[in-house]
Amino acid sequence: MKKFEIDARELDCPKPLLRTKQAVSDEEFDELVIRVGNVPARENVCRFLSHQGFTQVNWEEEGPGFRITVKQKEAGFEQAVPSANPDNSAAPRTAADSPQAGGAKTILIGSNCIGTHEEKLGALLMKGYIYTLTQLDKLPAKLVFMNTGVRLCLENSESLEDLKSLEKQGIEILVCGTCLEFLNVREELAVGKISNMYEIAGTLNDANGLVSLT
Amino acid sequence: MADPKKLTTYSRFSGCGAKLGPGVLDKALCGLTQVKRPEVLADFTGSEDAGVYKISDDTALVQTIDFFPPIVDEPALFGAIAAANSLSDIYAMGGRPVSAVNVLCYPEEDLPIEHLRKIMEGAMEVLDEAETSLMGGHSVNDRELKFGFSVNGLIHPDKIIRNNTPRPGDALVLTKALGTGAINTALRAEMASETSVRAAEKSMRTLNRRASELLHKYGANAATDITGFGLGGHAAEMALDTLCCLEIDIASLPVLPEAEEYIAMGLVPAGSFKNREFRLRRIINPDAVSREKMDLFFDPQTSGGLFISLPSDRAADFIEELGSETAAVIGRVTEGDGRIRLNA
Repeated sequence: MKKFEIDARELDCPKPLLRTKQAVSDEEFDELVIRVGNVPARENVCRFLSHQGFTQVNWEEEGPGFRITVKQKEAGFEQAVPSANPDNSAAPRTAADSPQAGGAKTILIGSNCIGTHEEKLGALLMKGYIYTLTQLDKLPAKLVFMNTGVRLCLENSESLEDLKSLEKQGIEILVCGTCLEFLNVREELAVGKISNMYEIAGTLNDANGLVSLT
Repeated sequence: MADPKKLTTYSRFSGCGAKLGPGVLDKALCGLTQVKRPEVLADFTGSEDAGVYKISDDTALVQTIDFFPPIVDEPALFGAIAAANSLSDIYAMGGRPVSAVNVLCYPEEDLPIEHLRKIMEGAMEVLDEAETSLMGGHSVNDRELKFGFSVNGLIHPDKIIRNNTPRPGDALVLTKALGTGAINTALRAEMASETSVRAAEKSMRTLNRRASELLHKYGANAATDITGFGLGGHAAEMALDTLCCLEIDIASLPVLPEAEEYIAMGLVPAGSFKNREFRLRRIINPDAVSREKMDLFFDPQTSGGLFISLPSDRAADFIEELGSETAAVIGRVTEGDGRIRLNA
C-alpha cells in the first residue's frame, strides 16, 4: 500500500488545506495521512476532502493535534455518486455511500435505554447492544444519537470505549447538538461529532436502511 | 525567502482576522475599571465601536484605532482598505471623521520603501474621500507589516448611535455582503477566482460614509460595523444586555460571489471558529442552520458593512436612498432575553 504523509502541525490555516490539495492532485497514494495541530485545521481539511469526493476520511487525536487518514477513492467511484448537491456537498460521506458496503444501515438511538418502563433493564440492554455491535462482522454505517441517547457518548458513559472502537472502525457517530445543549452536557461529549438537525434529517433521508431504537 | 512583491507573505494572519480572539480579550479586560468622568460618554467598558468624550453641549469627540496586517498584495489597495476600515468605527457611531494619525509597523529590510509610499498613497486617497486630515503618525521597524489609523470624529452628544440599543419592532439591515474572510482564505490558498477577489476588494475599499449619514435621517436605534468578530459576533454584542431578540434570516444574508463555495470546500478562516465558539451560547437555536451557513454568519470581515437596527417601516426607504446593491434587510428585532434566533 502506498502511503503519503503530510506534517502540517506547525502550519496556520489555510496552509494545511493547501498542502492536502497539492498532495491530492500531485501524489499517487492509497492512503494519505495528514497531521494537523488544531481543530480548525482538522475541520477544514476533512471538509475539503469530503468536498473532493473522498468517502473514507477518518481522524484521531494524536498528541496535542490530530491525525487524519484518507483512503484513495475507488476506481469508478465518481460515477457511483450522483452529482453533489451544493448545499450537501460538504457533509462527510461514509461507508454507506460506497458500493461494496451495500445494505449498511443507519441506527437512530433516541434514548439511553432500550424499551420503556424497566429503566435499569433498558440501560443494560443498550450497553449490551452497543458492545455487541463492536463484535459483528457487518457494521452499520452511522449511529445517530438524539434525546437522552446522547448520554451514551459522554465522558462517564459505560459504552464510551465501545463507541470509540466503532468510530475507529469507520462508523460515523452523529450526536445531536440541541440535545447536548438542552441536557447541558455539551462539554462532556467524549465521542462522535456534534451535528445539527439539518445534517441528521439529511442522514436519515439518505439512509440505505434505518433502525430506530428508543 | 518571501516574495517581496507579495505583501500578504509578511503576516501570519490577515485583515481583521488578526484580532485577538474574543474570549481572550474579554478575559483580559473583565473587571478592569477607571474613574468615571462625566465627560466620558462611552469607553472600553461597553462594547461600543469607539470612545466618546464630551467637549461641549453640542460637540463630542469620537475616538478609535484600527490597524492590521495586509489582506491584499497590492500596496495601494491595502492602504486604501486599511483607511476605510479605520474610519468605519466613527461611521458606526453616527459620527463625522475629521482627523487621523497613522500607525505603522514595517519590515524595513525585507520590503522596498516604494511599497510604503504606495500604501500611503492609497490610504490618502480614501482619507481624502472621507474629508479627513492626516495629522501624523508613528512607525516601528517590525518583521510583520501592520498598518492603520487612529481616527478622531465629531458628533453631537445627544446623537450618538450606540450598538446595543435596538428596539423590538425594528428591522435589521446589513449594508455590505459577507464573505471577505473566506475569499481571503481562498486567496491565500491560491484557489480564489478573480471575480470573487475583485468583489471583495471593492467591498472592503468602500467607505461606510453614506450609510452613516443616513442613520439619523431614518431614525436608526442602534448600529455597529461588522469586522473581525463576524456578523454573528457583532449581532451578539448588539443583543447583549437588552430585552430584545435579534432574529436573523440566514437566507437573506447578502454574500460576496463564491464565498459560500469556498466555505463548503473548507476554506474557513480560523477566526470564524473562534468567533463561533465564543458566541454559540448567545444563539437560541444554533442547530437550525447548516454548519456552512454558520461559518458564513461568523466569517470575520475586514472593513465590513454597517449592521443597523431601525424602525421597520423605514428600512426599505433607507436601502433605496443608500443606493447600494448589497444592502439588505436580514432580520428583525423582537422581545427577548438578549439572544439571537436564526431562521434557515
